[in-house]
Amino acid sequence: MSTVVTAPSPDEPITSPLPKERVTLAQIDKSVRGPAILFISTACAWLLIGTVFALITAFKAHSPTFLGNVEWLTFGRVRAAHLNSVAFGWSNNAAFAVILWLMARLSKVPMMHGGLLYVAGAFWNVGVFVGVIGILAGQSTSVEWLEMPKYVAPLIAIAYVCIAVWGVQVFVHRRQHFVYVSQWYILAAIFWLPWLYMIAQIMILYFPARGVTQSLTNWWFAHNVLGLWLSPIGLAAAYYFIPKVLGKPIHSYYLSVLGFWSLALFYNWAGVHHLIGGPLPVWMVTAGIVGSVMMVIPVIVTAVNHHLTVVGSFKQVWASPTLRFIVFGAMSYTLASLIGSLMAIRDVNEITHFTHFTVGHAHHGVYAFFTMVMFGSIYFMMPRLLKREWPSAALIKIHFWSCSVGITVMVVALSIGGWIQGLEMNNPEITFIETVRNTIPWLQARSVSGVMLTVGHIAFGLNFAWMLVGFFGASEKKGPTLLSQDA
Amino acid sequence: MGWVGYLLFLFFVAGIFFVIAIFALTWAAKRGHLQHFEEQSKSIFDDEEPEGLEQDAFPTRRAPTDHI
Repeated sequence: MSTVVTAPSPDEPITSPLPKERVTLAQIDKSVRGPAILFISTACAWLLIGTVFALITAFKAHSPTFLGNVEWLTFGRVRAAHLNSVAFGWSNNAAFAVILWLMARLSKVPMMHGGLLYVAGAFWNVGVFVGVIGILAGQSTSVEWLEMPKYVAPLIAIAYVCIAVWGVQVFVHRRQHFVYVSQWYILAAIFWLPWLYMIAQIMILYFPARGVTQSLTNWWFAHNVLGLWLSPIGLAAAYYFIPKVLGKPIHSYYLSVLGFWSLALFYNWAGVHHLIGGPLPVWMVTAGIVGSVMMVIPVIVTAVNHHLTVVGSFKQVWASPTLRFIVFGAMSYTLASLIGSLMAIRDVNEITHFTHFTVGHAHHGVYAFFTMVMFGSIYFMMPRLLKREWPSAALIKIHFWSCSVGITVMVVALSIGGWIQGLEMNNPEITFIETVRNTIPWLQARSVSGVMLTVGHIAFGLNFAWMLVGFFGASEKKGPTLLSQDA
Repeated sequence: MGWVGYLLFLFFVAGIFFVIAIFALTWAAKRGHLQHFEEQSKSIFDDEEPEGLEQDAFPTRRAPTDHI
């Protein structure tokens, strides 16, 4: 922290010589330690809470009488509580930790005045806690992805502004001439989220627009939270950790830049495909379909880049906890995104709309891609933040296998079940109740997958808590995960 | 708020967004971030975590030190 660096201004052209004196990675890691561990700890807590809500929801879907007489746990409430716990609690807390740590490392500068981030973390988590309790108490707004009561928004907004400003200020004070592609993704996401959240809050909750405009704003927001917030952060992490862990640069940096700008250009329109068949102007739906299909460009570009970087290094991927999760996530990104583009085509959407296929697709993106990448990132970050090794390799393996098999079962079951459901709903000879009954085996398979994910999350939570408190030999780092010499 | 109000509001926010995007692209081009791609791709490596050295393994295994 105290090292004096006489670096040239970061605004100088990148052909300038790099500064000779610099802070060590261990110093940078140390500066982010407190806030990052706060965000990761709360993320883990929300992951476990959200998993309990998810299990209850999954069981209720095929056994409606399960906890049927508990007012706070009716399907409509507990499903929304699950979504908000994992979206705002787990995903965003994990994202904040990864953003701050990555930005500091890539900027080669320690986090300054990180104390305010504790306040931001407290505001964020109190906001989510109050919001989830509000949902369970029946105060949901009933707006998809914005179910938390609107009095929570100021808490969330204040916390976010603090975190975003800290992310940007680290970038502004960077001592690295190059702006790595992960920094592009992170900076863009930092600017995109408030734009999405503000418009959605104003046009849906504070000054509600009428009719389909509200639905349009809702799906524009909900889909872009995935595409312009979670996806860029997941991709930023993948672009950093894959080459970093393998020790070889990304296959084509040019493609990574192309992927970033094409995502920025096309993704914004994709959310409209949720309203295909709705009472919207045809040109608007068509533009949404075009935007969704054009997303094939950044997806293929990113897929080629990630996968060609990994080709020839599968042994190293398998030997690394970080890369097991992140490469699984990167492969899921490719598959989920291509399926998403297909789902936007009218003929396909006619079948998948209003079915469990969409639920499977959402989990494919948010869990199989984003969450797996966050797990991998945390496996890399924690030993460097705490200067301790992960206490149990067995728990990491249980975590990986439970989650990778669990989410695969879920996506496959909901995709097949949802497709059949869609075909049956379009068949006038099959009654609606018959269609519903035919979904039950697939929903039961989803519950089984939920149990598997729960096992994985418990293994992760145990390993994390064990590492955090430093019991039973987890106190000193000697092993391989942390290779920084002076950490 | 009437639809004209929404429209004005959206145009205003979209305008700011568009200006920021153009500024970012121009800044990147002027500062040379859209060239020297090979050097940029190696900017994540340094003396402590150099290119050619794997950085992660399961905790029970020996540290991989071979260059790949």
